[in-house]
Amino acid sequence: MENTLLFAVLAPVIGAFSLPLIGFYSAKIRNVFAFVFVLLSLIASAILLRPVLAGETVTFFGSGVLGLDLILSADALGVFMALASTLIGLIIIGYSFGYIQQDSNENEYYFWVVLFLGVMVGLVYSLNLVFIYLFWEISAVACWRLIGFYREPQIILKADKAFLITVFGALAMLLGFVILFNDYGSFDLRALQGMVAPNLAVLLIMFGIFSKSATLPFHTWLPDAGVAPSPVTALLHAAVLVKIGVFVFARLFVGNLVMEPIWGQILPIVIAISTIVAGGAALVENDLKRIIAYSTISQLAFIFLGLFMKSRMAVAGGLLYILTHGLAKAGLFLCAGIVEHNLQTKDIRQMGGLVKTMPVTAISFAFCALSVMGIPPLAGFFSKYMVIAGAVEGGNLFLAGIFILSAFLTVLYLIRVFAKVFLGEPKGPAIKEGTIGMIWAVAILAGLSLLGGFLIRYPNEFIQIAVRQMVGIE
Amino acid sequence: MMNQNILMLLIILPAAVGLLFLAIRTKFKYFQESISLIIAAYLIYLVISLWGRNISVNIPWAGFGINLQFRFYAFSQLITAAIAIITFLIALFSIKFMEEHPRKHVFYGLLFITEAMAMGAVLANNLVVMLFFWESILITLFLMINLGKENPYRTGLKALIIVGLSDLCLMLGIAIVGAQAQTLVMSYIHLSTTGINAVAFILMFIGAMAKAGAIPFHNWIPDAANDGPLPFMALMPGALEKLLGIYLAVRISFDFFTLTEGLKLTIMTIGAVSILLAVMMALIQKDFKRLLSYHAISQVGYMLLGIGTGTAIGAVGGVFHMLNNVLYKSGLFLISGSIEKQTGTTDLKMLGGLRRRMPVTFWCFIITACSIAGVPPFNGFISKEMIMEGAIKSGYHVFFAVAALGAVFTAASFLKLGHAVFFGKTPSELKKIKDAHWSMVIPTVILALGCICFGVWYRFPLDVLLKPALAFSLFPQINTVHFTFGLSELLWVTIIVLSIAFFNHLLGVKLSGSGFGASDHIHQLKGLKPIYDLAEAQGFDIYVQGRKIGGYLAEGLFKVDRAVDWFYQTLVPWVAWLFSSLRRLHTGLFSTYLAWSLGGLIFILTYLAWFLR
Repeated sequence: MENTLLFAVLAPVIGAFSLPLIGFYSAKIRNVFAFVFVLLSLIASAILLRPVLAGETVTFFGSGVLGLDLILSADALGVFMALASTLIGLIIIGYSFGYIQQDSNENEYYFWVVLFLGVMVGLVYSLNLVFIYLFWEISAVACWRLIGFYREPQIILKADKAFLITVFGALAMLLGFVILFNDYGSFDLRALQGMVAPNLAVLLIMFGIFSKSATLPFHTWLPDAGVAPSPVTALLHAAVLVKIGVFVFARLFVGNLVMEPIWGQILPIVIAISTIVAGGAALVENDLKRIIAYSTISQLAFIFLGLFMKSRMAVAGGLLYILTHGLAKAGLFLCAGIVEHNLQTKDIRQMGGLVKTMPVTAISFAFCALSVMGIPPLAGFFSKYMVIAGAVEGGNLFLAGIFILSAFLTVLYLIRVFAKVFLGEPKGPAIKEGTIGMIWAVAILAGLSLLGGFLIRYPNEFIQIAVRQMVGIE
Repeated sequence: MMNQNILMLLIILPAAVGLLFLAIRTKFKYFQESISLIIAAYLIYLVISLWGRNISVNIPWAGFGINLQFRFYAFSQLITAAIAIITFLIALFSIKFMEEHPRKHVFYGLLFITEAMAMGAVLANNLVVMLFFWESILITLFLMINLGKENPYRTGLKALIIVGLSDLCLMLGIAIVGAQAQTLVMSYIHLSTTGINAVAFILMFIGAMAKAGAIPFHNWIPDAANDGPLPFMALMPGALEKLLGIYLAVRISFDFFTLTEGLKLTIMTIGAVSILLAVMMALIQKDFKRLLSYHAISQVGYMLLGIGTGTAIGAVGGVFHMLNNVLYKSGLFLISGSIEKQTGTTDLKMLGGLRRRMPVTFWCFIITACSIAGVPPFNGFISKEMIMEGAIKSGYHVFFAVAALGAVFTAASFLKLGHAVFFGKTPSELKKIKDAHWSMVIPTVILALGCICFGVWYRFPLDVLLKPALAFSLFPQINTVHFTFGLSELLWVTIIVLSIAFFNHLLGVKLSGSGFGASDHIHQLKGLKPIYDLAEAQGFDIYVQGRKIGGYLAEGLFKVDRAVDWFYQTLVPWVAWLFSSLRRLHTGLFSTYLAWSLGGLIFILTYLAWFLR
């Protein structure tokens, strides 16, 4: 089982390096391999489900010098995140086959995407702070190369912006880790269990977490990152990469390190401002991908809200939110990608009436949007309810009210963007649907969002195990 | 076990049929229609077969207290029966009405999905499950409006946003109730209405009101009357949404919470305002469907007023009014549909003299209009009397006065409507029309007969349907609820109300010279004219005004975002400049580097020396 765990990380990480070589021989085979490497990781994580459901935790220990031991642990939280990430990653790779076709640098594209998913899996299983940092930074490099994929000067500037903000955040976080090491003599999270984190360390670590998970005031790189190819935006800036921050928060501070009570007052204010400001900005913005990116910032605050609360339902809601938002938001970006690919514009004022020519994209977009809005029967309903109810349960009624206000804004801007893009009269020349692979990808994501609502029992049962492992039984 | 399966079938069967209709489009004529009728009739049979039983279902679902819990008992059996019957009648009516509609298979699909969701919302015994079904109706609501003619999507979006936002309020309310009661099982929730619970009450009530379409959440309904397909109007604003909204309002007011004096006053005020404002708007409408849609809002006012009195007779009257409203309001919408189908218009100006040409429809109109106007012995009279009696018992006579005044205008607007459509001269292009197809007449006749039955034999709905349904929360006061036909004071009020309406109508006809213009003298009244103009210009439209305010708010928030970005956009180049100026120090001369290294070494040594001193 330990080997399965290691394999889940190494299959995509090592596999990624072979992709450019295969690519020189044949693009098709490379694509297949890219898909297979991630699929293998998904299967490996799925195999790990069995011990987790049986209540066991598989741990891999590779000792190193100076406390830099590679500790991988497949607990419920890790397996949940790994499955969610690789599943969404897999769908997005399938979509990329149609999207990245005419672009150069294809080899590099698949290299970074698969490597990124590998380090993501590594990060979610890691229990060593230094390795968390290491995987974190590799993902930042992948993010930087992929945002600047089209290599135009303006685009590279935006990529630099994203890289600088997240890397400075990560460096601050590393300092925080060093302070923890200084105080408790270990980078091993298991050794830090129940310890009180010094305020300075918490501050520095939160810098990192908020910059990675694009929260005000470290968020502006995310809307700018919309210049990347759409599958990249979907993978990195909606579904997976931006969840690193919330995940690390869950790993470190939910049931592990202890924060001073004062943070319970400060952090909710930050995310409340973040969610409202981003929601308002999304209502004004006219660039399709920027709107969805602002929406991501706004929704990430909901996940934080869930994790900040002490109630079990809130934490479970936050984790479920990671999954439902990942599925739905990836779907939205991929739909936006189809529209952008075929229309050659991202300005929603130049769009309209696309439901007639792109029905599958339109319906998929609608379902994903409803899921983000939290309207049943889509899966997003449950995550939103659980987060809000958890906040209320925790006695933060006012905060819950602010987030309901943010949910109002979510409904407004998503309906606005859907109406402008897909309803009304067509404004440009008649356009076609995306390629078969692209349509399948968005339809699967929309279908999973819909199915998730009715079959909420299964993800929630698993999440309950995760919450029990994290915060213990009441 | 058997009964539990049947109960689940009430939700699953229509949902499955609906999805099937959406997915498959048959070429056989009337195939889909026949299946629809059979299924809809079967669902009525299922409800009846369960009649009088108490059934509970509990299936594990999302955890955290969110389980698929359903409960069939006196109250939910009443509402589910109403849902099943009205769906059947609409399905029957739509056979001919929607015959040439290019997307009629979508309509039938949505009809059944809506039925499933409504059943689920009413049968649910878990607040989150109720919310799940309740809010799902949003999607079918939007899609059904979208089946209308000429870009109805704007109205659909309006409905989606208004109802969607209020559903989020409901969500927060449910979250609070769940935390306060420590359970989500509806039959276990009994809270006081103090402190935080009052917030929960108001939030949940907003959800109920918005569904029922009370002011100020009503604005999409008149627009939908213009744009949406007619069977949708008869189904949703006419019947289902009232059933759901009032069902929840009653549950909240008498079951989950206990009303305080302040809340009673608030609800009665909302009810009174809804009655009066909507009926005043209805009075001046020149379109059959639009006029009806304002009455759909105004009648909710009566129901809320009855509930808000907090008295047993008022609450029973409110729920009775809800049932009656389903009968006459759906009936009236169907009548407008028959007329639209036969004449091609619902504009009152183009209609006239149809009483000879569409006799059955005409008589159905007379019955349903008399019911809504509160003419004895029709059903609307009885429920309205009960609400008025409740208003008097509550101690606030002003609400009784408003209810009576609302009744005057209701009667006046239907006198005008009937006069304009069925009397007067027939326009030449309408000389040849005949009465509607039997499939459209039959549902209308059934509804009209229902109005008579519930009026003349009022003991049946009152004692057999309503009292057991409401006994759960109004016991033992429920036993004091009685109604008798007789020369009470309230009957005299009714006679006065109807006389005023009648003479007002005569005056209007005399002044304008036609039934069509019978309300013009009120429309042009000095004090009212500017208010009417503002209302017609959407000055009171919460949606239009809210959008403006929301726009400013969003602009402000966007500025905050840009300010943060400006910080980075100026900071990052500045840092870049700093680095590039550092690069200038790298001249490539070995001596320079050596000097730098020495300087660095001296700095480090000084630092260490200071540190270790």
